[in-house]
Amino acid sequence: MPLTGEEWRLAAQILPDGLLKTLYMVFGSLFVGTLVGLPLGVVLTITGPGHLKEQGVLHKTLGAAVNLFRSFPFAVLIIALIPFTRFLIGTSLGTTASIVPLSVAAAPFIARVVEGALNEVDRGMIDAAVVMGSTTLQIVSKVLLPEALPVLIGGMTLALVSLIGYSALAGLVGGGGLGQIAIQYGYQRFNTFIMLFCSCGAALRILKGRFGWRQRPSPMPKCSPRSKETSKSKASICRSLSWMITSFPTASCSKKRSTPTSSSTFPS
Amino acid sequence: MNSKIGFRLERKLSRFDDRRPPHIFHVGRTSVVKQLAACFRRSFRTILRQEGIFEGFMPYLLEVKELGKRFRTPEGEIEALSKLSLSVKEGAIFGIIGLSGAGKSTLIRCLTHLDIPTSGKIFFADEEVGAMGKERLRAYRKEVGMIFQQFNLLSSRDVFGNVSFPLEIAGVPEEGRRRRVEELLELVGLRAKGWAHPSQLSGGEKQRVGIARALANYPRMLLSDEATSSLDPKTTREILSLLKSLNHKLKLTILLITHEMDVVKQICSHVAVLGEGRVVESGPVADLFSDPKHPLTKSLLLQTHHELPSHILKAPSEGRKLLRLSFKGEQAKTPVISTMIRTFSVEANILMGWVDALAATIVGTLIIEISGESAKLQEALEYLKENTTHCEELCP
Repeated sequence: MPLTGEEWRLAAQILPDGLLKTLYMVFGSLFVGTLVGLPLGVVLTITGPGHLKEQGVLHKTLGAAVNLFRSFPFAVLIIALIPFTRFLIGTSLGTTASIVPLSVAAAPFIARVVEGALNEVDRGMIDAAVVMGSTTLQIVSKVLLPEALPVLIGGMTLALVSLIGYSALAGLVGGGGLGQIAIQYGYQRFNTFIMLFCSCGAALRILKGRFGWRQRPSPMPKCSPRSKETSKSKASICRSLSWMITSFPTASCSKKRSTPTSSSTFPS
Repeated sequence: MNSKIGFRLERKLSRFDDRRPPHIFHVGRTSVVKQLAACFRRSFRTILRQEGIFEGFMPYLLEVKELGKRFRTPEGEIEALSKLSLSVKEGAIFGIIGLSGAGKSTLIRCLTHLDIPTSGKIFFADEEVGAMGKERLRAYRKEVGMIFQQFNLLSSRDVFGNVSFPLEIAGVPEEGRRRRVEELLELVGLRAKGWAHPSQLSGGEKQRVGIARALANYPRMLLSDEATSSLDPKTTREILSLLKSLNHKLKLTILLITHEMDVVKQICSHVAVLGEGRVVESGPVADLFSDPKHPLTKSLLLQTHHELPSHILKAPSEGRKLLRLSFKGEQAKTPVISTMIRTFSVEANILMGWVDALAATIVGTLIIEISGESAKLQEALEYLKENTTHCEELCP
């Protein structure tokens, strides 16, 4: 099917804008979600049974709250949070406003990710730090978080991908972004070109996997005598970050592609 | 006081100041007066120790009194420690030996208050650990270094970072940290490996890093929780001799927990045998080796020695006795056996013999079989009991 000039013009108008809006929403809510979820995850971990500051009641309450927010369907969450969003932002419509429900959805997810990562840290290391006379804050900042960093980064990637999925629903409140474009132009107006854009994204993602268009595991980097960071986790962080960035637009598109076929039931 | 002694005192004090850099004054929010008092107390003790005065009156650095610890589990209460008492003198290498499940690890966790004991008291330099506030407890933990069986090094940091970790916690400034870490790495013989990561080190090297890390804040006591149990015999010997030299060089008190008699034999001056949560026997190592009383001690001692072939241990025939004799220090020089043969006209056959070179002394052990008239045998037995450190009939 030949593409008309009009279609090209339309794509050039809406796609870059949509991509930017999605990026804005996803990274904005990832940032806010981390801001809330990271401390929450740390508190969940250290109040856990047998950990630094065992607090059964607090741990169970927080755990229940996190589970509650995680089990909300995202579409319901957006609607339910409208008064809250209006209170915070002044309006419940638009891209910025949709960051609020996205963050509320992301924070408990990130809290669980952080909790899981911090619980992986060997108890012996924590004991060693306690015996050295460190305060709880020092243990968290100097032992727990640095030791869990590689796992944390992996978890953040997971959070990012699921946020991209959630952001498609931001169209409900006029949040814009690729998700809304896919629904409006691709599904409701049967615009094949928009779909094509999405398929290209998916194809790129597959090619990337098949032909190894991805950063190869680098050989052990040389350590300088005074390097403060760890060479091992540095490499793994670089890998995770590069994966996060390269997978971003393509992952978002492959997600969106499924929306038209099953748009009567939105994901989550 | 004449001027000579005054000068010597001053020199000792200044040397002492070199040993403890000013950063210890920044520990916690304890008042300056208290810190000064503590500093004077410490320097006074240091002088006492260096001059060798009042050796006998030296206070105990660590005293444990009737310590008890119960764990509550779904199956019921478990008593890990019950009425455990021991005292460690300053500058000693004190071994605690026991089989697994005897409560060794619980004890060491209680000493650092990783686990809070359910009863009893722990005194460190005459101060009760259980009565310390949060701030004081942290300061106390800085005075006690600890090394672990699993090393517990931070994998996110290199060797340099690992050793400087306790210094960061104590709030030592960057420059002081760098200097101290280099000094420590030199001390444990890892100067060239500062940039390496724990995963790139061998077990022995990891334990050296652990030791350097434990020593960073100038501790007065080093706790070793099975520190050599996951190392091979050669590396174990190296680590033990390092500990011994640290004990000598820094006058560091070491409390060593182990299940291997060899470790105790090599470096400890005192030992306590732990069984079912209590001390069953304790004393200087040489006494325990030459004259073990409790069956548990005897079985632990057998670990280190060659097992006797079982057919020898079978009940000897009429008119024969199988004996185990121990000689300690000076006793080894008297010709006990030949005197016995001549005096009581009995036959003696040496089946087995070995010498244990302990940290402080030498203990020799013989397994002999004597035969002769029963009256003479009894007399010979009496004679041996008098003239050896320990004489035991193996199968009466």
